[in-house]
Amino acid sequence: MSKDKRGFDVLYNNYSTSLYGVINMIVKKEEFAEEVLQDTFIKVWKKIDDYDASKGRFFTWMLNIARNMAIDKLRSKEFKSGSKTDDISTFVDIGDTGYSEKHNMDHIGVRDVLQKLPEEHRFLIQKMYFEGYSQSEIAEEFNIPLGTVKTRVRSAMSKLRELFQ
Amino acid sequence: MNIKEYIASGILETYLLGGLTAAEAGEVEAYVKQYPEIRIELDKLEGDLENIALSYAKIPSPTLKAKIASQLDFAEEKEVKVIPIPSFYRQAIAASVALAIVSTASAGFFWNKWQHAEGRVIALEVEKGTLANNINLTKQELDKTNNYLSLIQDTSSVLVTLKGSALSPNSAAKVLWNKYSKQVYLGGLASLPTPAADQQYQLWAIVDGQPVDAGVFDMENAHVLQQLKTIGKAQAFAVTLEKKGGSPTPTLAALYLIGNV
Repeated sequence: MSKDKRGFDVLYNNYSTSLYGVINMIVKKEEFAEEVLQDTFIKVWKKIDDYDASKGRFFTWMLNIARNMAIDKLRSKEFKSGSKTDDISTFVDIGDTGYSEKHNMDHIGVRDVLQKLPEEHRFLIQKMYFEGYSQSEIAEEFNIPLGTVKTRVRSAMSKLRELFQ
Repeated sequence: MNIKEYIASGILETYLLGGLTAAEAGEVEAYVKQYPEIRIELDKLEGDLENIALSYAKIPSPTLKAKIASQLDFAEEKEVKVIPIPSFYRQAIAASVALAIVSTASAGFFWNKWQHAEGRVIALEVEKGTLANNINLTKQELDKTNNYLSLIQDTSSVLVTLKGSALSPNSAAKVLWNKYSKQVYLGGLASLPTPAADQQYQLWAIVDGQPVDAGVFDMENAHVLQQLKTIGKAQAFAVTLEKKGGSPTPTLAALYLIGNV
């Protein structure tokens, strides 16, 4: 990818919506999400030469940058003061919503694919992928043996693969 | 090192989801470089994560792209540097210059070709991205449709016709309710008056004579089946007009639709 304006166009047009979606799942608020997406592209642009194709896909590399920045934002002072609630367990909340909240059509489609996972699997992905917990933090905080964390993560991902096929 | 066991341990998934420390991740990366089988497995998993990300895709505000672009440094065409030439070896330089002119001409030719090819690659990449998005959207639509179809064919499903009350005799709607999965869908809305901005219609399930909230719905979605709250038991369904967000008990004076199961 060349570092000129056209390169940026390709990068943005291809990846902005996917990255933005995941960032939104983490920080929940659009104003914060757009800030994180902006910082992500600036960082990706600066560090693009660091990307090492032998380690994995380009999208994974970008997504990791986006995820880490979103999780940093989630843990920042600014976020905590700007956010009314600390409850960030969206997945767990879906289907168990408050009084007469409207159920959106989207909830039936692929979008809700994580919702189709068993609770214990969904919980792990939520904590790890969207809240930035490490496997050892999960093991300690929720009393799950480390080996179990890994095997559950593996079966969660293989169930997700089936759901997408 | 048993590669199969390593893959089955779930460490690659944990690595991709960001659950490893930097040291643990470094170890995984070393194995990925060393063992092609691990590399292939990781690539598959990366594809799965891309699918997840794609399924959550969301469009940022249209002004953001320009805002980001204004903060980046873009590469420009390289300037030609002038290097002073020593006065000796002139003949050699003359020969070199002749050669340089020839190679510059061919370089220019190939440069043009390359530029053209790069332009095509970019156009194709953009096209590929658009196609992938379209496929994903179609897949979502198909998923919804399949879900409806299986719901309709399910023997636990019942279709309840709601008829207009004296308030609005021409109104009608259908409730598709699955007694087993408890899912409730509302569709076929007809001739229901548009509510004021601070009002919303609310569906109720009548359970042993008591109304149970089944969720509020908007008229903008009148043309599709809307999924509302789950209901386990009902003898009838009814729709009332309530304040926006719904009420804890129905306003019977504003009963618009009712139908028995």
